[in-house]
Amino acid sequence: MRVPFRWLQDFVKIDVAPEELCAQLIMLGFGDAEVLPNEWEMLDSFVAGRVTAVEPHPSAPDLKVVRVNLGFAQHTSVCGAPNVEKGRIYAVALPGARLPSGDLVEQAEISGVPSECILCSGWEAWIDDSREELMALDDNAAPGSNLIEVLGLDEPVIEIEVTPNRPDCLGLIGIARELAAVYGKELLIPEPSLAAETSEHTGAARVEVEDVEGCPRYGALVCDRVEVRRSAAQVRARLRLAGLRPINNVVDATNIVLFETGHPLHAFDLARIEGQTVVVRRGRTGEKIKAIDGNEYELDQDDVVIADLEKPIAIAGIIGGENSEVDFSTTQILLEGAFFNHARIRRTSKRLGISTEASYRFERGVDVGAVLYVLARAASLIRSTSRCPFHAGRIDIYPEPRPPRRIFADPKRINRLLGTSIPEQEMCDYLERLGFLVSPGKELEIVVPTRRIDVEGEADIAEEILRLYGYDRVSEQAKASTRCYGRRDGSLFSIGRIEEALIGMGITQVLTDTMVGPTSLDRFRIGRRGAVRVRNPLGVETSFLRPSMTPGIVEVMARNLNRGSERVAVFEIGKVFAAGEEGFRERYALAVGLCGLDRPRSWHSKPREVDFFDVEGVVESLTRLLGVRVVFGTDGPAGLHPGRRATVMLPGAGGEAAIGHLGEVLPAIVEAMDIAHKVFVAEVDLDALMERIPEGLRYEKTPRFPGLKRDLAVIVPRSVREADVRRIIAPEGAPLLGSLELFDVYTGERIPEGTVSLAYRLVFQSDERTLHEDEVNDLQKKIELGVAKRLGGRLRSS
Amino acid sequence: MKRPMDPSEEARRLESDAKEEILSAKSLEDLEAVRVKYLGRKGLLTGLLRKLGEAGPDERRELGRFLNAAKSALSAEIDARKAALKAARDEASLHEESVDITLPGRAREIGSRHPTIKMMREIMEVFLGMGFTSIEGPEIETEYNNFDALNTPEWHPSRDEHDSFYVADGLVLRTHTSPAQIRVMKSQPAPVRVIVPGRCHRRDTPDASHVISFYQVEGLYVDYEVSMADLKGTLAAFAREIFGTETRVRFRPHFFPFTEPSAELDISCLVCGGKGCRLCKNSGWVEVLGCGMVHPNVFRHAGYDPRSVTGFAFGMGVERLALLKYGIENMRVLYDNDLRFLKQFQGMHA
Ligand SMILES: [Zn+2]
Repeated sequence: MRVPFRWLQDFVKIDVAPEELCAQLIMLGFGDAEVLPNEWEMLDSFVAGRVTAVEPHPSAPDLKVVRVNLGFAQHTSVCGAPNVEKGRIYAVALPGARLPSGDLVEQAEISGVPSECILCSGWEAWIDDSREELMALDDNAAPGSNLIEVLGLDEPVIEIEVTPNRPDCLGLIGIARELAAVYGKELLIPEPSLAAETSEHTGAARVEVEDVEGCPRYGALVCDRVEVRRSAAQVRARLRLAGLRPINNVVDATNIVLFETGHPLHAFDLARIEGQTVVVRRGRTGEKIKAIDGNEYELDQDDVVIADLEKPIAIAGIIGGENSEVDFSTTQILLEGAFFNHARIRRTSKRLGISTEASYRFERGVDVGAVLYVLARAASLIRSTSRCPFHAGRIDIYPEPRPPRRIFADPKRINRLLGTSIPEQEMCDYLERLGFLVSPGKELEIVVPTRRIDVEGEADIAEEILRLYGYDRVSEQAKASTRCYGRRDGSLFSIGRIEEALIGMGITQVLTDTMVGPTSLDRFRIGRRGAVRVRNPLGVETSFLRPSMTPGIVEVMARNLNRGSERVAVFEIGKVFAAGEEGFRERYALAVGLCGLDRPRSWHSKPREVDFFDVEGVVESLTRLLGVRVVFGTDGPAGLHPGRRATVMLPGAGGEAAIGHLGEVLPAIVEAMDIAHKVFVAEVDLDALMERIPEGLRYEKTPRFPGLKRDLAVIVPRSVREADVRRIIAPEGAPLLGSLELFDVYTGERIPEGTVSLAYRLVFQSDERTLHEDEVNDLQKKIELGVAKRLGGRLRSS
Repeated sequence: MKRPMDPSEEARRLESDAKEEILSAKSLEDLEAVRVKYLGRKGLLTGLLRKLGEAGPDERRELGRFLNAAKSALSAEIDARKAALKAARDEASLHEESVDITLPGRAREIGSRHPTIKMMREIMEVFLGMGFTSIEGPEIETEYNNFDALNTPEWHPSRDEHDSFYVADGLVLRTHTSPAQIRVMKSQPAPVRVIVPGRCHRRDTPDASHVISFYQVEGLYVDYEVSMADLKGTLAAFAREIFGTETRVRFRPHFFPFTEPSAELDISCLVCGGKGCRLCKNSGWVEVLGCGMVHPNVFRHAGYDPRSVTGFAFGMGVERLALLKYGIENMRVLYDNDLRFLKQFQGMHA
């Protein structure tokens, strides 16, 4: 909210610099407050000028030749405005001034008469859009003085962020009340001069409230013999400081009251209200209204509508209709000051996409108790701008009056909550300064002003007290509690260890977007059926919650390769999502991506391109860290190379359960992403792995007797998988085979085509004794026989 | 017949010759040659010993004693010289074996933690030390836990489809990790002292200080007498731990639906130290986190009796803290995942 500094001083006199006031407002709980830079430099070459002579133009009958006293000089101006009047003071644009049209003012000759400056309309002086007449200034303005000063536009403006719980501070008086309370000053609330003489309306105008839920209170003032015209220049300028658009004295008055009190009002041209009857009702399906913003809106039954006997004339609390707008021909108005249901206003405003100064305040909640005051205040302002007196008749429909809220609060409990020892009397004083009525007793009985819709209970009272007492005066203490202590457990703790291990392997952590789109899912051949769809995505490419982190991590790799990286090793740990029959599932997943060189270039060893076994190795190391055994199966998702992919599985009682996959990304995908390397990824369900982390570590004795080492090379057809070989060796060698280590894989000239040689180091070991060569030889024979018989292999003679 | 040389004289001469040659031996090989020449099986001194039998008994005893003494003296000399020569040779060969130690070593590659996670883990460590246990909640959360139970007014803009992502009726991508407050209080009686780190999502247009998916650390401490003073003590200590002991802190009133009284914690600007600069918009203070005393309505929703327990809660944006702490100007840089950026966070420096 924009707060003109001097305007604020109308309500509380505080002698501090605007910057200091901002600091104080922030400490009172306003989200932010800062002094805005002056926005009126474009008026530098505009001054006040008194018209000393008005003569007809010698050749153009529509124009006049005007002499203007500028204080420092006398200028001649050719002017076409109908209202130029000798002796009056107007805004004058001097040569060099820029007009809103973009034109620069310069000395010119108009139909043969030299014109040295321009007398300005409100539009030409950048104030509003009135073009038809000159903007007269206050008669006391000194000719030659700068327009910025004459109009008070040099006034500092503070921009204040009002938190959503404080709609009472969406008006100058609300802010002034806070300041008065903290500085111990008096709050000056203007008394409407009309209050006393406003009486019950006795004329023909009627108000019927059908929708009481939507409009708990409807107040109106019917004013006769109103004279509608432009407001005075200073008033118009002030509205601009507040960020409002000057219209005419009636609308301006409602805006001023809105701006001062935070309570929106609306003025209708009573002559344009059919049957002089205002009906507050629900909207009707299909009903339309053309609003004063020029747009047509379709109403529905949830809307609160102000109508006459025939048609809607306003969308309640949001915007008025063109059909009942006050204009310069209006003579009789109906001023509306109401209290609408904030939820209903909010829904309508949202549905129709209209946000106005009024809707902004109504949807946050206005003061139901202020209805009559704001009406009287507005009428009083309008009357002060009218040349003849008028009568105002009051209508107030308030079927279920809402009494102010009463709260009981215990000062002891408040002090306990705050960790303070504020005396009860001091608490009462703070509350009273803020307008609460406090009666002492066992507990304080507090009457909450109706404007403070945010204050509902003792905790709110505690905050009010604390705001004035000062947050900085609460001491800093910290109790240690032995009843709860920090525990290192849960997935986050395990994930921390996993992160550290991967980092130790030279892999860098990245974080990619949770939301992905069909393009990337399709590219990676990931079905959308099981993916969780976002109902209101920001765009189609962020319309799913990622079912897999692989696309994200490959995109990161592509980007880094593009930027010149030769070696990319990245991982991500985060949630992936799936939609199933039992609802949505979210799991922690780990994705690893390797691409390019396996290590940096160096003088001592030549790096190579990473391959399948690098990424497989990462998964193996990691599972070793977790103490979880996994096995690899020959399958995998469609996005991976069919010959270079594997399923990661957890062995279990009911068979093996797939928990992820690894392998080379399909070359077609990689090519489409302009990556010139092979790309390897692994993605596993980290929750599944972490659930298997064994508990209760017990040690095993290290062997006491020396083991016997044997090297064994097996030649098998290439169709045989290494795991199959191991699966034969292990049981054949049992129970003495202590370890089995594959140390070479060879294909080439030295062995028959179509075969592969696998070399193992076997260590035989017993817990009870030193082994004999003979028994180990026997075992080795058994192994040979097994391999030969079951895999068509043989031992390679070394 | 030529009169033979006096054997003892000959022995003496041999000994002195040998000593001289031992000392002048320049290498182990030379020295070995000297040893062979005098003490070897066919050596000169050995020869004299062998000829002892030819001498008379008296002479033999005396000469024998002398020769044996000379032999052991020479052996000792040789050993000493050998040690000296060996040392010299070792030294020379060590010198030859020297490498250029300025060549880079075979360093093992080390990855790095993402700065957001690094910051998050630092935050977790500080609170762990203060007795807070880390717990988690789901990213797909019920509207009830995310909004209603946290006393979010029905009109609050965060509920809006414009501000929050929905995946089904009543299911929202959590906009903060605060709903875990409700989950933890529903699952156990007081006392509760937890923090909740995790990823959250808001339907914001990304800019220099907003990303759609961001990390938050929420905290909650509920016990029988927890006050605003405890809140201040805990969070001030936290701020000083993360940003340095000289950091000044300030608490000022603010509004959050789920706390009352609520506060915002500011720290003295890390760039200007409080004098005023661009980062702090000349105020000297920068906002770090929101906090407050748990709203009684939140206790009611969670099944706690607000008349018997009190507590405080706080929440902070991890990225925001990372930006402040590491001097990063634009939040989007964090999620560009450029390795040249990420590798800068390899070190352990706090
Ligand atoms: Zn600063």
